[in-house]
Amino acid sequence: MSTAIVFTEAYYFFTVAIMWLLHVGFMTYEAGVSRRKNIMSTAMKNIMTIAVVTPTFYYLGWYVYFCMQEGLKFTVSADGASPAGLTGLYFCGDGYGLAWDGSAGPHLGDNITGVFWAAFVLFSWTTGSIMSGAVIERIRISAYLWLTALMGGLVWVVAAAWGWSYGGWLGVHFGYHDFAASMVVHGVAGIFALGVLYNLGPRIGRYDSNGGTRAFQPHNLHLTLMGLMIIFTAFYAFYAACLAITADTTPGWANIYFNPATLSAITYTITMGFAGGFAGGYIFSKGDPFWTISGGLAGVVAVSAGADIYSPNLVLILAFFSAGACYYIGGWLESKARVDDAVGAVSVHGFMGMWGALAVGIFAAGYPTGPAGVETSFLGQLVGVTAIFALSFVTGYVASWILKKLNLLRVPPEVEVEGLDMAEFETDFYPEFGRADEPITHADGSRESAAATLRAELAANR
Amino acid sequence: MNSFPFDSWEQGVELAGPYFTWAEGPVFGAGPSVVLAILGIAVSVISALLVTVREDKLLNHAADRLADKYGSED
Repeated sequence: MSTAIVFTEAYYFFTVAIMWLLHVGFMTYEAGVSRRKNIMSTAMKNIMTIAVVTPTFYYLGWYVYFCMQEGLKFTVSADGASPAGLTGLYFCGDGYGLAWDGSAGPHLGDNITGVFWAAFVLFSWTTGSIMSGAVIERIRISAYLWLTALMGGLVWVVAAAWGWSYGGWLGVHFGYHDFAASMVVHGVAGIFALGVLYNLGPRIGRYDSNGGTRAFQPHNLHLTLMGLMIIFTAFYAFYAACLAITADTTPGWANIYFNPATLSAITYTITMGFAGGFAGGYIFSKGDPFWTISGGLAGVVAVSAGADIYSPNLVLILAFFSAGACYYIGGWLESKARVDDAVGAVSVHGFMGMWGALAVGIFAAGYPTGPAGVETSFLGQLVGVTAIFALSFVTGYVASWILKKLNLLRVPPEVEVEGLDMAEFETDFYPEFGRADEPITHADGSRESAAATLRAELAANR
Repeated sequence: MNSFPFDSWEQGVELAGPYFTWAEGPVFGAGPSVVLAILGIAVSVISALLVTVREDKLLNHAADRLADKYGSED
């Protein structure tokens, strides 16, 4: 076995290990945002994401990734060539990706499939974790798990097969370029979550009868900030895992479309992206801690699609203004569209993911992308964003609608007001502090104990 | 039962093939590996169903218990 192969194996292994921190971060972040009565039910969702998405991807997603690159149908070919005539890196047709194939386990001639598969699994968990935060404090854990299995094991995989693969139709025919998955991970998860939120509805007490928006107080904002900083650390590994190693050809690395790239280029992008995003988040939100740090994430999501080709100067500027746009879109979704997204995931991941993919068509038009070398264009990026938006929103909306009709989507209202932890676990996870008053901020800025408001809203809901 | 697919590790290295449990032979579409996969899928699906049923019972129980508390003050 060549040194290059063993290096590749080790490289992906360590990206996977570091990407685990994404999920440490998401769990910490969401637990901090939740009210103290919902901490453990929030965290449990993140833990169980791994339990359900991993087998779904192993048994279904991995095969789908290789065999749905031409559209909504499976395109299995006996000679290993894709319908577009691609060979070599097109695997569908010989059983590759199936759970009973020789590549799906220990193999003395295949060091790479397992670590490459695991990197994809970590991306799958990430889509689930992105949705997880949006729906906290009223969704059933089991409903979330069914939805995240669907998205993490299938929906994002189809998007990746189309727009984030060697033979995907978006790259082959439209030059669609989405290096670090602005749309195929972040956009998919944010838009799928939007479809779910329409059926799930807002938390009890979130909106008053006059159309005003009330704010709940995160139980530990510092925990939220720390969770996001952990996520940012793992983002470097996420970016690194988006590269393919081509050690025997200059420059030694390629993007997912097998066009030349470098690790150095993406390191510039992610670092400058965080800087611009934090600055933009702080300036536009007037120093709000939540939106300052979310601005960093929004900035990086917005530059991820072009991370392998952007100038660092452009990255700084794009991230700065994207963070600002994210702040205003988040506010509009919350107060005007009345979408109760507890962590701003629809704005940060969904809208910035779409914008990030479209931005490549504006700022990096003309770059040849994919095996056919089709020039990247705004129209090609728009086709990709539109197709993936439809895929994500429709599946999220329909799946959550079915769960709603089965009365399996949302917890009973009494449980929501009392707190999910007491129902799910029958214990208080901060027993030494007793049940302190839960604050709520009304639309006019006044603040009081939430108890009376929540009881009144509960009665009105009956 | 000996499930080792090679005569020796030397032969395995030479053949450069799969060596996980019951992976020997052409396994596409048939064989013990398919049975293991089906069992794995079954465990995953049944687990998800059990989580759903258990949570439904817990939530309904809690809702019944809390109905008096919140209902009495309406």
